[in-house]
Amino acid sequence: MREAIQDSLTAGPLTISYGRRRILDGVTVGPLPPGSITALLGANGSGKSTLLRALAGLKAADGAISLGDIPLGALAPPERARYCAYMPQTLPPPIRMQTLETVLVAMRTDNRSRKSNHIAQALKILSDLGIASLAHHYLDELSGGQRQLAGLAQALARSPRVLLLDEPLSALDLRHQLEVMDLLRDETASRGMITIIVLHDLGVALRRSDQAILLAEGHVVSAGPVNQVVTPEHLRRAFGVEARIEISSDGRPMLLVDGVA
Amino acid sequence: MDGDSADVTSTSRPPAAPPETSFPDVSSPAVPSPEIETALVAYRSLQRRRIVVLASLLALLSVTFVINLALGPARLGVDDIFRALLGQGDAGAQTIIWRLRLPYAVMAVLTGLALGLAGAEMQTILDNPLASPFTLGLSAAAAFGASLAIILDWRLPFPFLSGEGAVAANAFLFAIGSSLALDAVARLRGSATNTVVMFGIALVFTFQACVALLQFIASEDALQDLIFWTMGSVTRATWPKIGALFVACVIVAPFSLRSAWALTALRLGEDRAASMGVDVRRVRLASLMRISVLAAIAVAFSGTIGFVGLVAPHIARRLVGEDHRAYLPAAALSGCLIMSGATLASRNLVPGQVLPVGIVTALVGIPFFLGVVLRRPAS
Repeated sequence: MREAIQDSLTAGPLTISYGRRRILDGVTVGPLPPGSITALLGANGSGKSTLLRALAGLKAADGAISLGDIPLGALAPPERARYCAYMPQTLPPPIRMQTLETVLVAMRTDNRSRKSNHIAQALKILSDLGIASLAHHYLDELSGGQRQLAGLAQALARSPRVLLLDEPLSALDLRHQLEVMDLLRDETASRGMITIIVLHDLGVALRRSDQAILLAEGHVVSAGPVNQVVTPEHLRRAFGVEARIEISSDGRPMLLVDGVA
Repeated sequence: MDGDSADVTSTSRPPAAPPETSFPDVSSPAVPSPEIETALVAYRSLQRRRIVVLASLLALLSVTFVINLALGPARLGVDDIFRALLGQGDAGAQTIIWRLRLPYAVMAVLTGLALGLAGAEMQTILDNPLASPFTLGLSAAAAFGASLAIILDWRLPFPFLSGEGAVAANAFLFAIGSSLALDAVARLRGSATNTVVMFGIALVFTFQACVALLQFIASEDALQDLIFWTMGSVTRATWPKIGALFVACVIVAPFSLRSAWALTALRLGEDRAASMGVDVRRVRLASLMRISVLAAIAVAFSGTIGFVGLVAPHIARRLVGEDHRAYLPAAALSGCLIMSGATLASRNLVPGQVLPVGIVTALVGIPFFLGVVLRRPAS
């Protein structure tokens, strides 16, 4: 592992407008060190997805984005694809391709290793996600949740240094949500990835992420270690709700939302 | 099938060394190696099955092609046909083969290929299973161009074109114009697929209205000509036309296949593809240009043949899935097969008459289509 700070992701200040409307206004990100999970939080329309798309290079932004000394923001799409993998909020469409095939297509960005190696890697990811048995099923035969897992496999299989996930848990049942978050924890740590996840569930964010960035109306309300970001005061400002953080019986923080502020 | 060599994405080296992050535990994967073996075997057999399907389509196509040469009002034996093909034997037989049967058969195959491939790419880049040169206005525009020539005798200022050639040139001009308009809309609106589809539908209705207007004022003879033109026919095939369509196919098809990976990635979703390094905008515009050329030439020479471009992609998808390395050739071959079968039927269904192939295409293609699409997937 290289020097942590040197390989961190930093961005901003980023400004993005759709027409005259400002979606992001001077948002700074990071430095986010390798091996850490960052939760991107905020109410609907606060700019979370736009920020994630900007970091993925899918949305042009005013401002620099860099990974260590690599100017990610200035790279052409094929170069950037070597470093970043992005999973959009929409589920993979139900097309006539087998799960394993779609993962192999996603891995085509990395041309260096051999196909049998690719298949071994793809299968490992699929089995880590608990969907190895679906490897030879067509996507148009899978449920929404299964397709979301397939989409996650496509992103993970690319071995990115920066993993950007937009609500990866939205179609999953409770057990799979936990499994996926645990897997992301492990993979993030073992590969030294910088993982950024847009999350709606603040409880999951509080328990399973290292840092958090809380957005409201295109501005950063708070950023830093997750337990310093998810606080009653910040949640009131970002979501307009009254909430408490209590320590649960296992000694970990727990979020209780009492009502509208 | 493993032709991974055509790399559409990699251009120059990145400024820094590429990441060394590969899976730390690939050497000792958590998946037991027998399972990997099984998956590898399954994957390879999937690829093999696709090659078998493509080969079968090609074999079927060859059979219909030969039958196309063999069947007709004049009874020619197999040896007559062979001798005529080699330029020997009876002069009458030579004329029948070289002037009638062979051009029809070749034109049918090329038209099917162009329309099948164009439809397949169109459905992918517009992410719409109803997209085809017919449903997005290319055929309607061509019909309008043709009707201008047939009814108003308005033709391009090319003195060397006359009669049918002028009709085809007009049709081509309007078809390519309408696809350039589609292209412009795609550029203008950041290639939002729905906008392009809506615009295409607007084109269909506009040109249909214009054609109807011309039909209303047309003389009876001209009307007869126009209706015959719009029904689509390969009997207008001549060797120069065949040459033009052949050159177009030969130039365009390799570019399509080269984009196979990018198009496959596009099927996983636009943002996903973009994040994989596919320049979505460029891929889409390049594809639209290919579609324009193929469809415009095919429609200009053969008239309105609606069914092939819409249906061939669906057949291909069912037969080989959506890995475009197999899907594009399968769609092209399905198009060839439908057109070849339809031409066969159009020439032999009514004794002594050649029916417009546009009528027969749907009648011949629909059983094939329903057979493939309604079949329960074997799983």
